[in-house]
Amino acid sequence: MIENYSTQKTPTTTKDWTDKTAEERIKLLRNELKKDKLYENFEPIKAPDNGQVVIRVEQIIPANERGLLLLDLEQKLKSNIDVGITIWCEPVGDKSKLRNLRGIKFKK
Amino acid sequence: MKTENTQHKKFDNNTVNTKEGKLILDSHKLSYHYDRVKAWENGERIAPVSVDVALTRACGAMCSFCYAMVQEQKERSTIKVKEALDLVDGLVEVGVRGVSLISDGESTLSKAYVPFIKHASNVGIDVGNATNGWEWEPEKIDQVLPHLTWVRFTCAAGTPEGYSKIMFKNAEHTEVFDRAMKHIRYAVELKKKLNLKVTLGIQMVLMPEFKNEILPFAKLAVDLGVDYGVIKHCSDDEFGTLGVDYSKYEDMHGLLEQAEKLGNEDTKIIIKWDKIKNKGKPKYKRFYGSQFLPQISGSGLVAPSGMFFNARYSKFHIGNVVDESFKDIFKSERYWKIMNYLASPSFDAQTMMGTLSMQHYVSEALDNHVKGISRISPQNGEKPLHVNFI
Repeated sequence: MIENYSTQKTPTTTKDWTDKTAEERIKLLRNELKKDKLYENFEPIKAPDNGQVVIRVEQIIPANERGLLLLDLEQKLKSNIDVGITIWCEPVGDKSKLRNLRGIKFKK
Repeated sequence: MKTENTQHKKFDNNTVNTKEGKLILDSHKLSYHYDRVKAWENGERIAPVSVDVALTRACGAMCSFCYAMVQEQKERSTIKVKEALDLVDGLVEVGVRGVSLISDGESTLSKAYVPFIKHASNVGIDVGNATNGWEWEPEKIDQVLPHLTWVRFTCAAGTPEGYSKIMFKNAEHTEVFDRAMKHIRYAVELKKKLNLKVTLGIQMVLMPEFKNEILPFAKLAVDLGVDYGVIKHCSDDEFGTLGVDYSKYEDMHGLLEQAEKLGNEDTKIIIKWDKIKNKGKPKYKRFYGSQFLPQISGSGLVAPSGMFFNARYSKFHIGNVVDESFKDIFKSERYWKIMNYLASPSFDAQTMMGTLSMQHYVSEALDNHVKGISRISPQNGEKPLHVNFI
C-alpha cells in the first residue's frame, strides 16, 4: 500500500533557524556546501525565515543528474542544519523575445 | 467527484452530454482507469495513463495569460523527428494510453508534428492537440485530423480585436484571428465531410480583465460549429507572476451562466466551474497526479508537471528524452524518487507550486480517495469521449 501522508504537515523551520540572521544562515549553508566537491558551483542566495532556500547553480547539470543531486543536497541540509529547509534553484526568466514585449517579469 | 459547485452541476461528475458521447472537461476520468488507481494504491510503480508533450518550445503568439512565461529552463535542446518518434515508441512500451500535445510550446511548428501524430495513432495511442491554429494549414489538417482524438484551439476572445490584443501584438493585428478562424472552419467542414470522430473545441483562458469577451466567445463557438467552447481559469505561479486576481472570478459568474445558455445541440458551452471557483488554492498538500500524467517540455525535459519546468524546480527534473529513452527515464530510480517526494510531507502543493495545474483534477480525486472523502470506484458501461486523457 502507498504510504499515506495526505494529512501530514510539512516540516517547518525550528527556532534555531529563525533566531539567526539571513547572513548567518547563508554562512551555515555555504559551509555545508563546501564539504562536498559536488556543490563547488552552488551558492546560496536566499535563506528566509521559512526555510525556502534559493541556490544559484553556476553550471549546467545534465537533466538525468540534477534532480537527484538537488534532492540529496536538500536531505543533507535538512539533517545537518534544519529540518524545515527546502531548496529551490534560482529561477530563469522567459527568453521569448515576443512574449517579453508583454513586460511580465518573473517574481522571485 | 463531489464538489461544492452543485448549483452549476447539470450532470453527474461534471459530464456534458453531446451528440457524440459524454464529454468530461471539468473533472477527471480515473474511474475508467481503475486498474492503475488500484495498482497505485497498492504501492506499485504505475505507468502514466496520459503524458502531455510539446514538440517545440517555440510559439508565434504572445498570449498575455501564457504559463510558458514562467516555464523557462536552462535546457536548450530541441526534439528532432527521430527523437519524437522514439518518444512515441517509449510511451507505448511503458503502457501510456493517451498523449496530448499541449505543454509549453506550439507543436504545430515542429517538423515532427505530423509524423509524431501519425505514428502515435498507428501504434494505438490516442492523440490530442491544443493549438492556436495559426500555422495549421489545410495541408497539415488533412494529414493529422483523421488521427486525432481531439483538437482544442486556444481562442482568447470572441471578437477579432480582443483576440488579437490578448494573443498577439495589439487589437489592429486581426489577421491572426482571421487565419485561425479560417483553419478552424476548414477542420469543422473536414470532420463533417469525412465523418471523423475527432472532437473540435475552442478554449478561452479567462482572466478577469477579459470578461467582456465571455459572451462573444460563446457566440463564436456556436457560429464556428465546433463541438464545444470551454472557458477556464488562468493558472499562475505561486508568486503571482502573471497577476491573476482570483477574487474577481466570482463577479463573472452571472456572465458565465449566460454564456453556458448560448450553447445548443451541436455546440456545448462549458464552464470549468470547479477550477474557476477554486480561488487558486488546492485542498490537497500532496501531489499524486503526476504519476498518472507527467509532462514533457518542448526541450525534451521530463518533469512531474509543467509547473516544474522552470529552472527553479530543477530538483524535480527527471531526464530529457533527447538524451535517453522515455522508457529508461520511467524505469529509473530518479523518476520514482521525485514522484515519491511529491507524495511525501516534504512537499506542500498549497505553497510550493503554481495554481490549478494540469494534474489538479487527478490530484484532488486521489487525495479525496486516500483520505476516504470520496473513494474512486470502477466505472463500467459507456466510456466518455477522450477516455485516455484523464
